[in-house]
Amino acid sequence: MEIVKISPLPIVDLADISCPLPGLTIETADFCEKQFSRSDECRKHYETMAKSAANDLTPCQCPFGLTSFPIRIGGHRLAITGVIPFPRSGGGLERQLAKTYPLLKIANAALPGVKALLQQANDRFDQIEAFVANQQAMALHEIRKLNRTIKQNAERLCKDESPGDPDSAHSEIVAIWKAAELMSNQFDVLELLANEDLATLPAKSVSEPYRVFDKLIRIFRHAGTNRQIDLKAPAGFYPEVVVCDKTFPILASVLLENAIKYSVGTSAIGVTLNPVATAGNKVRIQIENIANDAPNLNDKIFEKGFRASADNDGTGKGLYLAQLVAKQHGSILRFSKERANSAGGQVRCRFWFDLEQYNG
Amino acid sequence: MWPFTKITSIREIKSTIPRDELVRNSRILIVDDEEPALKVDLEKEGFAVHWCADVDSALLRQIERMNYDLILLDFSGVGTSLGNQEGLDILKHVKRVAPAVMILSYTSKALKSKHADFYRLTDGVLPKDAGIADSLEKIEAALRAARSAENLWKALLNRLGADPTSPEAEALQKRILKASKKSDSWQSFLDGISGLVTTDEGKAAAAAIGRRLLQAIAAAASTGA
Repeated sequence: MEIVKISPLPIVDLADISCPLPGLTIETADFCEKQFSRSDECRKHYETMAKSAANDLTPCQCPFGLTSFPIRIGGHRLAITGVIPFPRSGGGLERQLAKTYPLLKIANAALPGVKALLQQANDRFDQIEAFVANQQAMALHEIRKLNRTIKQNAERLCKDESPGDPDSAHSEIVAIWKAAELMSNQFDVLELLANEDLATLPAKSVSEPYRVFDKLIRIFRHAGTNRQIDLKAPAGFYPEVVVCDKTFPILASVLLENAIKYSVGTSAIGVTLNPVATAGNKVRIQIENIANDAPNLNDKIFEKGFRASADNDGTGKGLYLAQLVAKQHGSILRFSKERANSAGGQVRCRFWFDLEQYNG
Repeated sequence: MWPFTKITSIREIKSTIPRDELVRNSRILIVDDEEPALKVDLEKEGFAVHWCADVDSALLRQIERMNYDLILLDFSGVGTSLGNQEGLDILKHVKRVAPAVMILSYTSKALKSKHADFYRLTDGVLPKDAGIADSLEKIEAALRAARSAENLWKALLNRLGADPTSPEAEALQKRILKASKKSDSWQSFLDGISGLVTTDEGKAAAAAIGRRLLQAIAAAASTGA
């Protein structure tokens, strides 16, 4: 909570108890810092306050003679703390501290003003956050519009030049077109990240996963990926599945982009579609690649913000979103790894998920 | 027209409209506060496309009378006459009065959680930044779905307020299948359907859906679909 950083008096967030943070006007007494590090008494004092339903600004003396005051700001419970109030809470410890730390003295009558100040600051923070979020959404919208113009005009140029096979038009224009396609995929990911409710939308559209992956592979190739990507399915097997067309492409693009990003050397990526013999009328979609092993490369990779290795530039959110989308489609995205034959320290990674086939 | 295939259930009819017929007979409405370049791409393909920056009562009446098969509906800056939920208000209104019309959400704005219903209630999503070929493919699929006998049948039942599993729906299906075999009996059948609806707009809408449905069944029977 940001407002604890601008409190005029020492303060503790009762949802995240720590040594009192210094106030801008009155700093945390070194006495407090010592006691907090030496014993559990301080922490217990704040835990008791956190559990208490006491009204705001009800004084609560700590075991060492200083006084805390609970306040509620924007649904958060905080404690203005480490002060010597007037009128006094009472006791010999307090009298002693008042002599040693005269700067900790504060009139109780000033506390409502402190609370009001923090409330105002919190409201302002909320306004700024909402404003920034709105500006970001507008900026994203404008960039997306710009990307749309580039993408669609490049596609029109390619179509005009080579109506039968726009992909074979002037290679640099095709590269611009496909790079803009990749950018669109990134915008979709950002949109899902900002609004995870999209992964609760119903699946209504019939789609062919083979075509979805084939299109993506072409995009990556034309946009400059040299890595070999093999798309395989048994002869004549072009299953249809019912998907949410808002989110399903994200699942495919995250998995493929991940495989491209983390593959090592000249190893190829494999995308395979197979009927699942043991699970009724389902199709299994699997993406395989060879990557450097990392201790954290396990099922936790689907957790939000989890990164298998600190030395890569991933956000740790792509696979989390992919799993959300897999679940949206009644499936679960699974991961396994096994030592690759080629060299030590490298593993063959497999991601797969099953989808019910649509039979019309 | 003599049927070559005996059809016993409307749901079993597959849509087999040839592409040129689909292009020739379909009408697309784009509701968007900015005229999209996609309109020209669609026109180049031969589609009849009408763009409007927002809806008014006259346009809503045309939609209700099945003058359009597909609506590409933007979210922001439209629906101002219907409420404060922009495209979502249009969507809810059209789904109520013209259930046979397919609606694809057509926006590039990242919608907030509270507006996720816009995607939930539409028949599909066409991102504004989708590629041209992808857009055309999705639009053709939506038009096929709009003109399918199954969609028209569901829409007719919806407009008549009939439960699809009720004996009345079963009886109505038999009547439609029978009527579809003789085009000279269509009008009396459509008059009968209109009689089940109370409002003038409702009568016209039910008759329009019924006529489309008869055409779809007759076409399927003649092609053996």
